Amino acid sequence: MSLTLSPEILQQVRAEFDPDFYLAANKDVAEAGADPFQHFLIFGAGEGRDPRPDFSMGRYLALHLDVREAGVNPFVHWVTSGRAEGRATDHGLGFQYEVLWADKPIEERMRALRLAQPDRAPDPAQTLSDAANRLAPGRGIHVTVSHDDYSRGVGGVQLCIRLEAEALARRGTDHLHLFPSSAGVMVDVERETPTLGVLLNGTLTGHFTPETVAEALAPALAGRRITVSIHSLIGHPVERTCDMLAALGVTEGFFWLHDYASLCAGYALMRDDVAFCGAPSPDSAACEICSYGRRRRIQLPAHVEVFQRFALTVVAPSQVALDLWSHRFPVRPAASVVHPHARLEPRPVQPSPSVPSADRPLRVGFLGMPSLHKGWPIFADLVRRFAADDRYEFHHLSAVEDPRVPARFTRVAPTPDQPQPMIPAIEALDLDAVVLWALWPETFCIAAHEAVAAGAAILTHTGSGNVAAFVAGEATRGQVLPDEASLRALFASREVATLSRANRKPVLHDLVFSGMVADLIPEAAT
Amino acid sequence: MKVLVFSSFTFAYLDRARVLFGTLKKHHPDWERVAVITDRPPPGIDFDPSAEPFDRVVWFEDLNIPRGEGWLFGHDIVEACTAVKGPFLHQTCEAGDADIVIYLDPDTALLNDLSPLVKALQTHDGLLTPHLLEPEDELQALLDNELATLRTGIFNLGFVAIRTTGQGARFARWWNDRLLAFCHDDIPKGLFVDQRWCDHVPAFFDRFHVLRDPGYNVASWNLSKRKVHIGLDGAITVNGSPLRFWHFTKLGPTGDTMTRRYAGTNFEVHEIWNWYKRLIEEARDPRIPPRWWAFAAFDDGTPIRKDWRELYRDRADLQAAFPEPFRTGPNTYHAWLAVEGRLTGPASVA
Repeated sequence: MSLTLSPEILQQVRAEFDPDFYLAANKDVAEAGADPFQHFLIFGAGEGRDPRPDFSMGRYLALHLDVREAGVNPFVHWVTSGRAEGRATDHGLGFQYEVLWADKPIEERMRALRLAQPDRAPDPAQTLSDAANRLAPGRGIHVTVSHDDYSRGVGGVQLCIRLEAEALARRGTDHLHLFPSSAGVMVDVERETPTLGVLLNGTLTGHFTPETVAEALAPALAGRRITVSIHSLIGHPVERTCDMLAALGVTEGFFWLHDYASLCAGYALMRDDVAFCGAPSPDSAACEICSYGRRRRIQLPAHVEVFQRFALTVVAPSQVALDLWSHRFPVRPAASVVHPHARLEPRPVQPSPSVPSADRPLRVGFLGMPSLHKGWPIFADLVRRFAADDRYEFHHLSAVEDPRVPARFTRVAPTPDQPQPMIPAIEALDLDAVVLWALWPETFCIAAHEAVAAGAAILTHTGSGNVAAFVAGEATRGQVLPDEASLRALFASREVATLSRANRKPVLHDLVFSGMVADLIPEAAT
Repeated sequence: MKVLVFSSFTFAYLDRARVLFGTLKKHHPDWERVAVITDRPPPGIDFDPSAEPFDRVVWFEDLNIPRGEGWLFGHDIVEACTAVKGPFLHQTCEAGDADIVIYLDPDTALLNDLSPLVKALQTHDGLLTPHLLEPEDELQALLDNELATLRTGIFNLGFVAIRTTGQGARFARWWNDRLLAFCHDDIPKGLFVDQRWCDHVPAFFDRFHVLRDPGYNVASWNLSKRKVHIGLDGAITVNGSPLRFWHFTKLGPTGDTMTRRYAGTNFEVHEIWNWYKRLIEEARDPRIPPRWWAFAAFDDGTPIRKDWRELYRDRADLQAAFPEPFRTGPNTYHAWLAVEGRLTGPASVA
């Protein structure tokens, strides 16, 4: 490409190219030390890599079929002629269209995942028997079931399992954790030889078939008091996992509503990943067209069967989650309870206000992964609209950056020394408000609690589940808005400034986590 | 009340027909589903109708159209596939095979049941859906939709439903006669295959009804005035009416462009298209060559140009002299074209 462009045109295109963005978005180019502009012209353009945050190569080609047919570099076309012709670079159809346009069929994604993570050969059963025989005799054992190895993850579910196990360990209870050896995104019905990863008291023992787990553990667990807490069945060969639990003598337990995976293969109830669906009848037209519809016909009955086999107490971290689930799940659980993951307690000593200056820009943040379900496109749109407005300063606090969005990035990731880094990070940046615009009804939302604990106000919408419920409960926590237009209007009118720290003078809190189901199990039971 | 639904297509559209008939089977397992196929299976394809989601196949030859091969030669693929709708409809009425016959284009698909049509045909003898139900507001939409339908026909004949008696049967006979003689894509002469004829229907057949429900025959040409909503109850509605069937015209980049233009931020439209594209991909038989049509070429494989077809259909003397026009060799239409110097020269193939 560079060989066929005149020096004048090359210079013109280079002037519009954003090398910093290109390097941030393409770590491989940065690591190779290549010249970003040359890389873009020779390789990147053909690979569909974008030259600047506000220009999508794929979108431009989709909008202008003549450019696609001509086979020219779309960015060069836009710089040299398309812009002057008034050609659009954005279709203005919203993030939902972007998601649907890029959509890969779910079956294709699952096939790719199965190929990337093939079935693994089971470890010798003796390894598991030996490990179980080393457990101190007579102690109760708490079994947790989830979608992954919680000891290696940093997400909310992993934290809950860790806290649950720690709380029970303090009572002298052992912990057995079971997870699918190969990751899945839904319940598994395809793997020929699925195995489960087994952690005993936090140590990985190995990977075994569910039948081996039952056989190897049954002798060591005989006579012990067993409690069970199912946090997620994603990735599990559900029937075999249940057979294994039954073989260990399990008849009852707890079932967590961390998400809505028991209602649908799309755990967030986001139809086609673009809109909250409400979990209507699986026979509805909406489920017919939804990319999760067919898998829902497997996932939902699989969970129904679990509730029919075991007397399960549903544990919801919020009333919102329990209400939605109870309304849509076809069978009644043995019992249900709302048990929040955490609560806020005012700090005994409030730090003296850091003299927040009334005339500094309002600092608005987004907490966590820049993911669709968390409402990243809504925040990104807000940043793009108001990035040049000196009344506002936008921040992104996360382990992962999105270079397309011109927000100030602060890397925030848990470490063994600092497992809860978000609260000090919010305080250090002195954020006034955070946008928590989950596109699905969140069952809890630790980030919302972290924001308020650190003194930041929350901007959310009515459909965000427990985020909205958390904010609506106390006006000082922020505002619940009806839609995105109201959010934009709040910024355009500057009304959002009422949420500044200077104005609110927030009380800071500590975030106190619960013991999860350990709080629900009587001492005598363990 | 026996209901028969048919579609007309070639093997290149087998994937679409499979999707249509699959959705019909789901919503109306008791309706008879008939595939009218104006084609022959591509070489190497062992076509097994019993494995398909339709109950029976009617081949072009089964329609016994007078001067069959010569008649077929006079039509391109679109003309031929639309023209055979007339004979099939008429013959079904004559045979008394059903009480109600519904035609659906192969690129339509049901998202709900069509039983209100059966009810409507208790009081009407036929039903048609206009391309547009209300005037456009924007110039671009006016050009794309209002003006275009003035050329191609007020009603979209991707759908028609009739009773097989009364005016339904009279309509079928009239349409059969017109399509056998004039099912041509010739807009300057006022013809657009089977559609322009039906502009006459409201005048000729007073027991026909114009279906004004926006849930039927939703397509890119009427999206500017139709808003699709998917409720938390799982229902899909169009301007408040249940979505019945969609017309997925122009699958591919051109269709995508029109859908983007007229769906705007109504992203639910793209969800419906994505669903359809997934189904098509599943139904697709990769062994069928793209744009396959057994009647697209002479028997030596030479593609037949549209002007050769038109010349043949306009000249009774050529039809009489060469009753088997697809043949090549001595004393054939192909040889005559060569002698006349007409085998060369620019013209489109169809």
